Amino acid sequence: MSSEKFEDKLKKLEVIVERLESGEVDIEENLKLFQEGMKLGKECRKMLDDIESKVSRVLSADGDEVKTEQFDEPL
Amino acid sequence: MNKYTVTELTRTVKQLFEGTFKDNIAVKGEISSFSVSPAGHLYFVLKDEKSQIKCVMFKGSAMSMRDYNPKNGDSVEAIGELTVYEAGGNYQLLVKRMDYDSVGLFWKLFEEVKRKLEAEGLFDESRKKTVPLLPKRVAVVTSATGAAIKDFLVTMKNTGGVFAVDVWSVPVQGKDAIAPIVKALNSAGAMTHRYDALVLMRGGGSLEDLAVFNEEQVARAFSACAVPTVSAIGHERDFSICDFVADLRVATPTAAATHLCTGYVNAVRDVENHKKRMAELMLNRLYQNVQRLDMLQAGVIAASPLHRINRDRQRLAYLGKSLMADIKEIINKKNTHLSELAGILQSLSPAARVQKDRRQLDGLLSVLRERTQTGLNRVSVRTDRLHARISLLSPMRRAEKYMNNVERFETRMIVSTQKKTAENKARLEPLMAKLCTLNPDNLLKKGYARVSANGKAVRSVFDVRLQDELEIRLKDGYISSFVTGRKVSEEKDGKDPDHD
Repeated sequence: MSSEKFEDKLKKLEVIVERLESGEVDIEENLKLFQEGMKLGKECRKMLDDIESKVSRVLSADGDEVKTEQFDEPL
Repeated sequence: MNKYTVTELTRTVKQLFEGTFKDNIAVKGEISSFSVSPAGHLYFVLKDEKSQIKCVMFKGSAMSMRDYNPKNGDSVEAIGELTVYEAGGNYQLLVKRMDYDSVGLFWKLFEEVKRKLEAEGLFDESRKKTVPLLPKRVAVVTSATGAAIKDFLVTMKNTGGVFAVDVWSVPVQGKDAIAPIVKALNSAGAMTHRYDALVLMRGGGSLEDLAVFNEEQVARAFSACAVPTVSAIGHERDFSICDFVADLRVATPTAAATHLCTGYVNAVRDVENHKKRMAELMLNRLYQNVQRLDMLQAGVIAASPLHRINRDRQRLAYLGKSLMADIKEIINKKNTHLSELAGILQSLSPAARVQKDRRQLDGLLSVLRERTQTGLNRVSVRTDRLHARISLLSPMRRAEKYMNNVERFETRMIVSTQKKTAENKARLEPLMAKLCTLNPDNLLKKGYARVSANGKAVRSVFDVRLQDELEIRLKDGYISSFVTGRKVSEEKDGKDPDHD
């Protein structure tokens, strides 16, 4: 599941922020971590942005095939 | 120790029993050993997990139950009196009324299924899959027209969660709902590539309404889902078998939406926070280093030979400048002194001496010249005086005197003549003025005209004839005219009598 990957990325990002916060890395390492972190952040954001909010109603399912139609939300 | 006969004991027990349970009592239990006597009385045993009690319901009471036929295994509530049967030496419940205990049955079934599935390990924590924090697509098995899906979607929208939802619409009540739900669970539950989570959902209702989610078949199908499952059935206090087998149990459909959205909302927040924090940290780190670098650089510059050279050069330039100023001042002073000396020296030079002497000589010479002149003047004055005295005494002088007298007489003569002439002139002038007024031209000036014909003045109408050409003299010119008529004036006092 790609969401697992997302969580991995987020975890990595967290670790990077923690390391940056500790201030114990040298400046080269710091810059490297920052770049990596920004890349991860961008990827995470993209993964989030790629998720679509869409509500469908399942008409039929045959094996792995799922036929859907627009779900008229009873709102 | 008290001693009783059997009858005495039995009677004492009977009195104790019937004294304690005077009125009707209600007992819940499950029917077993049910039998109907040929006389129509009902004999059975009520039991629960640990105990049992004999019951009898006489025909009359049994006949009053219209909508219920008791049978073994039914959960019932029996209302009646507790009695002791002396002949048999036992006690029994004399049932007067009996109700089918639906709630009891419900829970009985519930417990049965629960026990069974639990025994199979379907509730084990170790079996539970993790519901992903960030689902992309979720299957929702519920009624498409129910309140549950509405609550779910509204909450999802309000919370700001983002994921796709497939609604697997199924009936959610009654025995007929079992098969469609099982089918949907089997299909959707297997689609691990499509779904990150499967939600089995139903809004609140009575115990019977929710009974379908206690069905063994449904629970098994739900448990068998490969996709992580979430149960959201009824209200907070409702519990179903499906809740036990679900990977995650939430109280309501609203709670399910909230839970599934939380991941997304948190993830967005976390990612943005991390990015912001990272950028802050990086910038801080850079600023710190830049500052440190600046400080160090300033130190290095201060300590560098170039800096010292520059400083020395500045100092040197300053010193050079002040030195120059000093030298200039000295030179100026010396110059001034020198000029003074030169002046003195010059004043002592032979040329100056000569000049001085010449000036002195010039002075003496001019004095000499003055004095000589004065002497001459004096002589001249004396000479003049003598000359004057001489001339006073000369015959010329006398002659002059006489000449003066002659002149005086002459003057007197001229003056008197002139006086006479002026007097004559004064007398003449008024006369002249009078004469002037008599000038005919003056008359012309006043507007009179002088008429002449053939070169003669016309004084009378008789001086002209018709068609004679007249010349009329005015103050500023002439008019030529012809006589076209004449008329003699009748007045006799006119200067020029006019006659026709």
